[in-house]
Amino acid sequence: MQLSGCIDGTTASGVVQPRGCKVTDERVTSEIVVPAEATTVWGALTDADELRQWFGAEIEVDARPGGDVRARWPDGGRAVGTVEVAEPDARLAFRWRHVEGVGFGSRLGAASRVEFVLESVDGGTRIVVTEAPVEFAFVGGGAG
Amino acid sequence: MTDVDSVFAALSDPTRRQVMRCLAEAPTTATELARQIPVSRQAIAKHLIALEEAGLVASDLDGRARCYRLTPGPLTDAMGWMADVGGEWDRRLAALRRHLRSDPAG
Repeated sequence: MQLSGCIDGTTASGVVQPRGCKVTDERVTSEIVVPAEATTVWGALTDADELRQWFGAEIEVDARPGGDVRARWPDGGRAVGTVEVAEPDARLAFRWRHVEGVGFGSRLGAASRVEFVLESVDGGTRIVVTEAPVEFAFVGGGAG
Repeated sequence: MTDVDSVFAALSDPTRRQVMRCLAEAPTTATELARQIPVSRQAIAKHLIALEEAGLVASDLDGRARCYRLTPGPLTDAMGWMADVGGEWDRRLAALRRHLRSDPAG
């Protein structure tokens, strides 16, 4: 009910706007409020047994800076990554790279950064997740 | 790297986004763009090269002037990535919510 998937930011006009959301910088954001304490949510984001129950992939997150992230989807897709930020009950960020599978089309092999931010609110915890590409073809190049 | 990456990179620069906004209104020349956007014509030319490399603009010779226009095809790929990835997270967060509701600890 409080689910909202949104692509935010600004860009050129005249661009299609999927699902009524504003388009675009180079990131996507989705958020939801869940009826649970932040510490319970943290457990669901970091415990392998819990992750398996909702993530849609076999995923392991070693929730400490430098810890490994490994995900395997039922269709054979695979991603590997590294935890960058792990503040229990508050913030979890990792970079991952899809190394097998076709689900992400031309993004295969490129890395993106995923960040969860947890905030206690009336009725539970707000979870905001952001995913953004971190590798560009010509970062800082040319016309900057 | 990938086409989608180059589109994101092209759009990550505010001046390039401004160039695209101008071109979305009407095809025009680098000289005219430099009049509308407060940067030098040389800077505009560099941005146009970056946008052309990303496949977001194309140019034609119109008499002696080179006229630039938007070719939004690659945007569709970038938007596709955003819709895919955004949709994945929407689904995952909804599943997380169901999981937390059914979890006795939640």
